[in-house]
Formats: sequence, structure tokens, C-alpha cells
Amino acid sequence: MKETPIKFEEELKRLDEIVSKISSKTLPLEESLKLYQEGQEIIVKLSKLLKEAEEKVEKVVDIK
Amino acid sequence: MDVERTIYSVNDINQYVKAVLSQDARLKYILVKGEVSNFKSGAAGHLYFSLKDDKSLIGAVMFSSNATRLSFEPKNGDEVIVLASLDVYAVRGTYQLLIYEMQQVGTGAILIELEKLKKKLQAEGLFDASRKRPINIYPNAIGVITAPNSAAIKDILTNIKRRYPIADIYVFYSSVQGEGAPKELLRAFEESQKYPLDTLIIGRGGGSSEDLSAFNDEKLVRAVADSKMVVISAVGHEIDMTLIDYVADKRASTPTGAAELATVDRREIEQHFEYCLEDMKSAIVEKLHDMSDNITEISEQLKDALSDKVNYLEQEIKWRKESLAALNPTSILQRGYSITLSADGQVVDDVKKVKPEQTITTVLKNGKIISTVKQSEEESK
Repeated sequence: MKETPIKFEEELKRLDEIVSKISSKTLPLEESLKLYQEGQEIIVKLSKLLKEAEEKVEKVVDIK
Repeated sequence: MDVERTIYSVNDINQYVKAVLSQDARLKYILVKGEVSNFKSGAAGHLYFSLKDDKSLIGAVMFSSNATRLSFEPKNGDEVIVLASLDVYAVRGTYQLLIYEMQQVGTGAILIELEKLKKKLQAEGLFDASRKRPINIYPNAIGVITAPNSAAIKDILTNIKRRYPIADIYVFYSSVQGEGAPKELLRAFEESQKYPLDTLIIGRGGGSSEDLSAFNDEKLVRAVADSKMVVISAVGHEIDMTLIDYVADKRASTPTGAAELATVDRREIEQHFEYCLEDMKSAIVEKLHDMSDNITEISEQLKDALSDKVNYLEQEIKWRKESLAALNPTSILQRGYSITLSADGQVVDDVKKVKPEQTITTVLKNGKIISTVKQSEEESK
């Protein structure tokens, strides 16, 4: 049994957090640009995960 | 004030009644005893009739999927016990019993047993809403217990892969009907408990004339109630409720429905990504706008401050010039005063500086007067 430590949901949460931080009026531009980059990276990463997962095949478990 | 009154359509009313009645658990999966009357057998194999007793009468329908399981041929006058749910036929505004099982009085023991079991499990709290756990729609792994080569497995796999391909899928095949089905299902279930699954789907296709009794098996139902992971049942369809459906965390009416409950749709995620990018971009553009507005404002302020300073300095210079002018002795002469000088050109600012017979010069604005001192007197203090 292998564990696949995909933190998809956490990554999505982080993305939402980034969006709401950037949308705050008080956050300086420089910080915003840094966060924007992080957000974009998350989107690229998760989109890639979805794309690559398309080839997955189900595992049939033998029941004794 | 005029009160706007809502005007409902006939359909609104019937749909509302249907919604209200279909929420009432006391009208679901109930046993009813009565006499068959107005019996009609439809072309598609559905049975339409009424059940009556000495006081009243209720319409009843048994669809062919259930009717093919009947162990006798019903006819008017038969005393029967049915397992049924109340159903509203909104098109006609009528309600009727939707019959799953029907037995002649005297042979209804199985149904009575099932009803007893349901009551017992319910009393133990196994159906309680508080036991229901939320579904993680971003699962790492999903297990599926169902029959091999079935429409159910095909629908579940297709839909999970299409919606959320990230989830690993483990399939535990088992027969879902017939003598050995309850045991096989239990074994498959126990095996599934060893895997790190987020969600377990237990399902079979509905709508055919098959037997659902395996999903009412007490051992299986109790085991499922204690499942480590969230269970979604997809047994039968809308009208076929089994005990598994009651203990599952969530019930789907079709295998496709179960796959949909178990996963988020990637199209929603991808749409969400678009929105996130849009939001981030517009927030940054807004910040830039705010900053350029700020710069304009600050430069205006700076300009104002500078011109104030210049005005002040100009004023200062004017004042200084005027005070300087006031100190120039010539300007004193201009105002009508005079200055007296001694013979050696010293300003006479003390009477003791001159003596009688000395020559002094008085300077005025337009010339000088030369005179001889006659006498000088000091003012007495």
C-alpha cells in the first residue's frame, strides 16, 4: 500500500488565502506581487496534477 | 400599504405537497395491510390498484421492477401486507402507495422481520443524523464495492475519473444478489477497511428486477454502520430503500450520483483557478492605481507647500528691507529731524560735548546750517 501525499485540498486553501490577502487594501504591492507568484505556481502545479492523473487505472483488490 | 400577494400555480402547490410528504420518515418504508381492489395490470408490467379497509381506500402502484418479484398473482379481494412509501403524483394532485414488496396475509413474515430489524437498528441509533460524517470531496483514495462487469462499476469509474482523476480507486468485487451475496459483500467490506480510503461506495444498479435483500442483511448493515471511512450507498434507485442506505453516511440514488457525491468536479476547480487569477490580477492593478493616485496627490501637496514657503520668504525679505530702511539716518532727515555735528564731525548727542563760542553744523534734509554756540544747559534731573 503506497501513500500518495497529495495535499490538493491544502494547496487550494492556500490559494484562497493568497487571493484574499492580495485583495486586502492594506497589503503592500511588493508583498502582493510575491503572493501572486506563489498563487500562480499553485495553480500551475495543481492543473498539472489533474492532467497527469488522467492516465490512472483502478486497482482491483483480490478478495480471498 | 399594499401587500403583494403571491399567486401560486397548481403545480407549485402539488410540488410543495410532494416535497413535504416525501420528507416525512413516517410515510417511508412502512407496512400497510389492506384488501386489493380495482386491480389493473399495465402493459409495461406495472400494477395499479387500490388498498382498502372497512373505512377508507388509498391508491397503490407497484412498478414492474418490484412486481416481477411477487410470489403470487394479486387479484381483487386479496388480503395483503405491503412494504411501501407514500408518493405524491404531482401531475394529478393525488397521493398513493408506492409498493416495493407485497405478500398475502399469512405469508408476510419476511417483511415483518425486516420492519422489526429496521426498528431495532433505528432504536440503537444507527440511523441517527449525528452519526453521518462529511464527505471529503478531494479524496486521495476511493473504494468501490459492487458487482463485476456491471453498469454500476462502469458508471462509478467513468464519473470519478472524469471528475477527479487524482483519486486512486480500489475496487472490491462482490456479487450483490443471491444466496451468497450477504457474506461476499461482508468480506469485500472487511477487506476494504484495510485500505487508506477516504470514501467507500457500496453500490449496485437499480431498476432491474433484482433482489435487494443482501443489502438488508443485519451483519452487513451493522458492519457498514461501523465503517472506518465515510460510506456512500448507491443501492437500487429512488424508490428502493435498503437498510444499508439508512446506515450509510450519504445515500445516492444511482452509481453516477455516488461518484458525484464522492468527488469535486475538476471543471469547477479549473473554473475556480480562472477566478483566482482574475481576482489577483485585478487586486494588483487596483493597488497600482491607488499608488499613482497617491503620487499625484503628494506632488500637489508638495507644490502647495513650496509655494507657501516662497511667499513667506518674499514677505520676510520685504519686512527686512523696510526695517533696514528705517535705520538709515537719511530717512530720519526725510521725516524732518536734523543731526548736529561738532567742528570735528562728531555727532553731538550730549550737551557736554559743546562749549560756548564753538562752531557746530546742523544737517537737514536739504542742506546744513553752520552756527556758533551761545550757551549749553544740561537738563536738571
